[in-house]
Amino acid sequence: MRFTLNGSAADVDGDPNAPLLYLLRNDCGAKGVRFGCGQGNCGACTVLIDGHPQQSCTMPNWSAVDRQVTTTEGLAADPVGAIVLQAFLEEQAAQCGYCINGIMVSLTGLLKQDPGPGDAALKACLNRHLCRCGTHLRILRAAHRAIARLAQAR
Amino acid sequence: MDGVLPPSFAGAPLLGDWIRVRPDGGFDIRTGKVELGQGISAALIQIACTGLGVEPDQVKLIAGDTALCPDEGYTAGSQSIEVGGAALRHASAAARQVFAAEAAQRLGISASEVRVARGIFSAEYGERGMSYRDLARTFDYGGLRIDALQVDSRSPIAIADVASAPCFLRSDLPAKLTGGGFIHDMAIEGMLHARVLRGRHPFSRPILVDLAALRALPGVTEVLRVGDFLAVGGSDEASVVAASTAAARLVEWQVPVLPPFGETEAVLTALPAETSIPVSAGTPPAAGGGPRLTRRYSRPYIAHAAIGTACALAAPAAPHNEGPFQLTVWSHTQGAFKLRDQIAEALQLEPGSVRVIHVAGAGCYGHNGADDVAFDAALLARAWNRPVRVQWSRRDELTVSPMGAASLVELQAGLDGEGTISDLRIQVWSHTHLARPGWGQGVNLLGAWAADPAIACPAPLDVPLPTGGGLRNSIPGYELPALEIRHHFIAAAPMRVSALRSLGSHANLFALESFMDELAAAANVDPVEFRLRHLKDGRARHVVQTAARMCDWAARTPGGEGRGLGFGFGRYKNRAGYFAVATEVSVEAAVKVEKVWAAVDVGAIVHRDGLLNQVEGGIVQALSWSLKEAVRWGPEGILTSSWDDYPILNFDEVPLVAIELIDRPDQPSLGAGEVAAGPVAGALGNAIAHALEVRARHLPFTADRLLDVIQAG
Repeated sequence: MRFTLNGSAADVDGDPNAPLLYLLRNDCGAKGVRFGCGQGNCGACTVLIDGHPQQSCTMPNWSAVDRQVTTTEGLAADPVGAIVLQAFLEEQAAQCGYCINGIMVSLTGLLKQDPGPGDAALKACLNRHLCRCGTHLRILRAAHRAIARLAQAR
Repeated sequence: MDGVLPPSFAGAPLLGDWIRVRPDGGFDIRTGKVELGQGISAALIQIACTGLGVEPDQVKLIAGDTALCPDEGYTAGSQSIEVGGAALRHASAAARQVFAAEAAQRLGISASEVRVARGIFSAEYGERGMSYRDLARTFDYGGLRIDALQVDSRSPIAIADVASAPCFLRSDLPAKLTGGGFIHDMAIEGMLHARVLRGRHPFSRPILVDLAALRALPGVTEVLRVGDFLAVGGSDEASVVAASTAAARLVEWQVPVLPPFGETEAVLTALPAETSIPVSAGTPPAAGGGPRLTRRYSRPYIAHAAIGTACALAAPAAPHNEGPFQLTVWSHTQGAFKLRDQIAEALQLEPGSVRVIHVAGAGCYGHNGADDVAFDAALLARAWNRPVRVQWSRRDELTVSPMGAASLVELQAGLDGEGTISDLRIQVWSHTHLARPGWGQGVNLLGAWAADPAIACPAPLDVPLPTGGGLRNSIPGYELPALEIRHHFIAAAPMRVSALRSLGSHANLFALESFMDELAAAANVDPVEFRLRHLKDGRARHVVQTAARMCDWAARTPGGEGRGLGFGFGRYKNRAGYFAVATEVSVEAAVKVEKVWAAVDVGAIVHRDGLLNQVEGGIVQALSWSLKEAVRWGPEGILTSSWDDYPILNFDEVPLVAIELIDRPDQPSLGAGEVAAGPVAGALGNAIAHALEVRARHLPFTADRLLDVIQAG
């Protein structure tokens, strides 16, 4: 199965019907794609497929073929992703940190489409993600920091 | 630092047990306290760096490795700063003074002239000096007994003090935010992936197993059945996960007979209990006098529900053949040494032949599945003689993991003629709040109970007062002429219970703080004023007054129009952090928490940002528990097994939070992770009562349950 992973060509054998999550983690080394529920409810496994956030735990491998797949590992090399990552580090926006990779990927997807989203769009994006440690307010501050920095860059 | 020696040195008395100077000039700082996501690693590194006079890029923190680190018990109970921090503060200061004395000798100056910066000792900053590495070659610092060293906190050696140092960034976050850093990310060459098959209850038993069909599932190369322990393994994780799902039709489970599910009060009062009266103080007033009030409050069973599921790896021999270990286990356990001993006991190994290494897991809020899954991996690694990685499913996390215990609290009080409490009688119905591996007698590991008929689940044993389990924070922090506490200890629980953040404090302070408002109303006194009338401790009064000022309590409206402001206070364990909180809610179809104000006093602040993070997180989590969460079961087992049926607070529901930290540089530093739970629940109940003029007393405060309360009231 051929696809583009974080800008590089990937060609991996596997069961086309198995969840993309495991292929990415175990065959491609993208450990930032995280298992949380396997049911598409928590957002920890979020990746971008052609720029759109998707839950890789409920996507079959075949649905990634010929697509551009972006994981956390691809954020630093992406102009928007790098700003998001930097914002989260500066805000120290994590407690256990397990939910953060998926959230940063989701936010990067949103901000690449709309660098100045309103509250409603931001909340809609984040509402696909669960955080148990109660880091929500820091995550929001990091998101706003990234948005502000993107505005400065324009 | 002068005076009592930190208790951690009893088992690790040498300087080298804590601090090692590496050949490359860097420092290994060894601690028994592990990073659970609470940010303790940053605080401990800050303490060690400040003590030594070095920078964070020069040190590496090694934590929770039974082969390398001191045994500091569990990383729990909000004691990491108090215990682990105290040990490192003392050890690093001891190291600095010992090396400074050596430097003084070598440089030919007096000890009082020595300065240290970035690990270089010199007569003046910037002059030729000697590094720790230079000096380490000349004497056996590592073999020095810490209790034989004079550590003087007023040492003339000038280094930055903790309070003026900038907050250290968390060194664990860069990896965790770029696709690594968690135990889930570890891979060992030749490892098998495994899933342990379990039913809808921790004590479910497989009564019909089609082993042949399990073996035939695609990707399954190993199947193990030992007693009631059942697992499948293979080299491809996706296949093994699919097999564990397919196994649902290949295994029939028998679930233990459970009492009918119902209101917490009904469930708990129907169970057999042992009654004791651990507190009886003062003299209740003679009959007559002011009004008396009796009220009951409760909280249900609560799941840990971390976003990442429990995970462990084990290898049947030391990796790369290092050392004498027959078994190495990687775990996100809170108690590496206890886990090591329990795994060894369960597998009939010498403890010294087992090594447990802590690696970060997802959020840890108490005794979760980390130890159980570690045993799962250990058993399988030995059975299959291969490295094994086990991860729990979302359903496992919400069903077979230990949970927070349900609790019922009844308070009865009288008011005297002056608007103060004359006497208070409390009754608490609760289970044990502690069943960790290494607590009490026997083995506390889920897989061991299943695999070995000789290993039974030990009789429950609660934490006694003064710290308490079910009775944690049952003794009010208020001044009371008479107090009686009656404990109905319910040993047999329908759910598997153990420590969940704040233990009994959530239920007890929820009840007490709700009751204080109800008493205040009966006495016709403002709720904050009522609390202050019963608080003598200056620090308690200060957090209460601060929180009241923050939320502009004085401008509080009469209420009853769907908007409410409620107050709560508590001092965790009556000896740890002080916390006062106000919550503002609006109630339409459901409760929306608009804003929370909190004042926190945890003594001398070490890591300000970590403290804010913990307090904010504790507030949000307490709101989630109190508004939304309850484990539910039926005859077929535990029903709440996915995020759909066990919802937690989401981004839409999180309020604005304002926190004021009160620094007390002369006071001992205290933990903050568990201060918020009870007072937040109380403030929430009080805000809802203020908004609706109807009192809800039984958590959770879901929309349906509040509707029932309104309709009944």
